[in-house]
Amino acid sequence: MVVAGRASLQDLGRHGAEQLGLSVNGAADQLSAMEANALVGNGLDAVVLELLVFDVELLATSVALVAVAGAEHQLTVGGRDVLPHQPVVVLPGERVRVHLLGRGARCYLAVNGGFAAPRLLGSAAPDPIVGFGDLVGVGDRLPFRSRFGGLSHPFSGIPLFRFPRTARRWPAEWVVEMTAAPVAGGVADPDVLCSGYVVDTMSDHVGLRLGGAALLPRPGGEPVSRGVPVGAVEVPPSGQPIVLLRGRLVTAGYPVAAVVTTSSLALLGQARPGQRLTFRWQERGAAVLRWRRDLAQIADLADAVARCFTAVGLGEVLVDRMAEADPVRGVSFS
Amino acid sequence: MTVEPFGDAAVLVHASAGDPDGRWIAVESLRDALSARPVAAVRDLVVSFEHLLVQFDPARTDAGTVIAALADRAAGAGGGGPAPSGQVLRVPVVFGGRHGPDLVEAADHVGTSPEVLVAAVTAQPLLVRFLGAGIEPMCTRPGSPPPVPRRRVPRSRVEAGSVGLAAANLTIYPFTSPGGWQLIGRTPATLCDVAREPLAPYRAGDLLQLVPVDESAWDQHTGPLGG
Repeated sequence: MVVAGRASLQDLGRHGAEQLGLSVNGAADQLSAMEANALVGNGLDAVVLELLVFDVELLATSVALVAVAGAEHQLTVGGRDVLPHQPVVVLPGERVRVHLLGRGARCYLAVNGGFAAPRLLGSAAPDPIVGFGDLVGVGDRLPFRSRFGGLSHPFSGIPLFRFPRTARRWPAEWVVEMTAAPVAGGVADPDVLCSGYVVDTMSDHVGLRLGGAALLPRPGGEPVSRGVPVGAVEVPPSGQPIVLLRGRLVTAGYPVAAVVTTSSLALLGQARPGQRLTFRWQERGAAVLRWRRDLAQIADLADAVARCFTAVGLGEVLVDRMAEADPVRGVSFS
Repeated sequence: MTVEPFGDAAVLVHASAGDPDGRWIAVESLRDALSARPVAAVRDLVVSFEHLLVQFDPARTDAGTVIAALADRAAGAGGGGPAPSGQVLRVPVVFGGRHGPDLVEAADHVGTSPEVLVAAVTAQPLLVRFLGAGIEPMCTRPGSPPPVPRRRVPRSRVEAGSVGLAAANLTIYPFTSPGGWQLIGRTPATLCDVAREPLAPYRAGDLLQLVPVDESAWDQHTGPLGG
């Protein structure tokens, strides 16, 4: 068995704790995490398994309804190829193998009912800075709570779902949209960002380090440390920009050249080292509309899944109908 | 105060008038007012020396709506800032050497000796202005000290307990994390623990008294801060 890359349990992040200096954290590609949850009838914020540049096998110890969304991947269940980005029934003893293909960096594996995980201030998202949450490793057991009791197709025995894909298409050119940052605490010429950058190998959940043309701070000294949003394009004295990600430090004293839009941040959650990025200015209003369209697609998918599950007699697995007393099941990470 | 959008999901409030104390009190008062009367879809606040970052859910509101609500809250804000708690926490610090690799460089930047710099930051208690990244107690150095620049390339790893300087400010890193401040010393004490409630023994308005200790006494000063 081969396991390469990193796996962690994630949700959409820890809101309300930034006053304590705890960054929001959570799934790097928020849209794919939501999509995986939508496909198995979960609330969009349920705990999922985030797989970063991976090749992984899970052994189901009970029946489960799972879905994988995100980076291009090949999914096999019990040795048979299954359609990616769809709900899949997994029987006890079957192995689920997720194998990364060409494009994207992260996949999200959701199970109906959501994975059980410890929480800090309401969220399961690991925060490496304060030492909360661990990577998931070989041999770990991942319990979940689900009312899914199995489903068999009347003729083939293997149920097959085919919901419309909301997954992004992988463009030849990765366009990252950004809005203007306040002039105070900015850089001399933010348009330099439009010259194109390559993702550096030093990147992590704190920041996406970029290589390319250097930016210069505005004359007049360093800005006072101030809160900076996720997506801020920070410029340290080396001039090489860093896009701050969900594990950023909440305050920063470096100049900020621009802010990547919420929608484009989901795309950056799929950027691997070496990826070439094209930055483009966007109006704030258009950026907000784009994000709302992204969310509307996920909401439409969740509606379609709910209607379909109800029609085939699976209505009770939909998360809002679940009771506290549901059985705890598990998959092993092998 | 000025308010500007900062990306598609946040606005940044800047208190630009008055002295540093007045600016901090202005943003703290606004934060208090927002805690008392929350604004719909505002999810996170980050207060700092003279700024307040207000982050919202862009699916449910927008910058214009939030800015209007902030103006309303600011009109009703008290202006007193947090009441000083009177709590003074004693923080043992080993200055210089391997625990404070930038002490000499930081002293050079402000045109003084390491000894004088250490004396300046230990002469009186330091006021915790706000909790920075990773529950850092962000303090201002007393008086009007010459600014210390940040490092050209931030360190990818700063040990927990490290005492750092940047601009006119001083902080202590509660957890091992990346950081770009000049490191002048390190405390053997443990500042924060996610298994404890509350996470940190200090809050905005508390005072920290740094006390120089010898490296050979390191083991006598480990354990929870203030415990």
